[in-house]
Amino acid sequence: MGSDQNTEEEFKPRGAMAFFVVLLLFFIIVYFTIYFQMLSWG
Amino acid sequence: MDKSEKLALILSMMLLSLFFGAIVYASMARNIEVPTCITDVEPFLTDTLFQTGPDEYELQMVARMWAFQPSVIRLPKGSTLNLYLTSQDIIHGFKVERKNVNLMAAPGAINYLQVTFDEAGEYKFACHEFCGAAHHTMAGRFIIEDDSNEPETAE
Repeated sequence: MGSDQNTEEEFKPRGAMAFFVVLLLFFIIVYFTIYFQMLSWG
Repeated sequence: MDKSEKLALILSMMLLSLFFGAIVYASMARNIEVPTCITDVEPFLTDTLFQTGPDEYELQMVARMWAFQPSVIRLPKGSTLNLYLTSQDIIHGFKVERKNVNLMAAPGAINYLQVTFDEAGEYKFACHEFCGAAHHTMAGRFIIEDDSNEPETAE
């Protein structure tokens, strides 16, 4: 029981965090690709 | 709240602020027009194109099932067009290729956008809101000419 609690305290969702960061980067790239394309069209 | 959740929320809010800020920047600093909906006037029911200044034109366009009136518009290169769009029947869309023009045509309202054609050529436009059996035929084009011919329209 004690070791379970320790494991929970030490747990960091590294995979989920990495996925989230990649997701944000993906959105930034998609958004600004379309944004600058639209700006160039005037 | 968990620290990771808090961080995810903060990052998401920052990203949304960045996107919104980019739109405000384009509108204010780069002078990119955003579509404006005019609801306090009676919509026109006939199409008109007329000159309002040097290199400046006004087009009152009517969308209906399944055509734009007018559907062919000739303008000289460098023209700035003030486009007013309404619909005679149901909701239609209006998208011009290679230009930052994307409007809805709604009955009872007029949508306005200003667009400048700096380069000569043909710019096709089409309805992008499904409006019935012949939706796919609802299209037209702007013909931007190098020489300074008189502007004209055709059905």
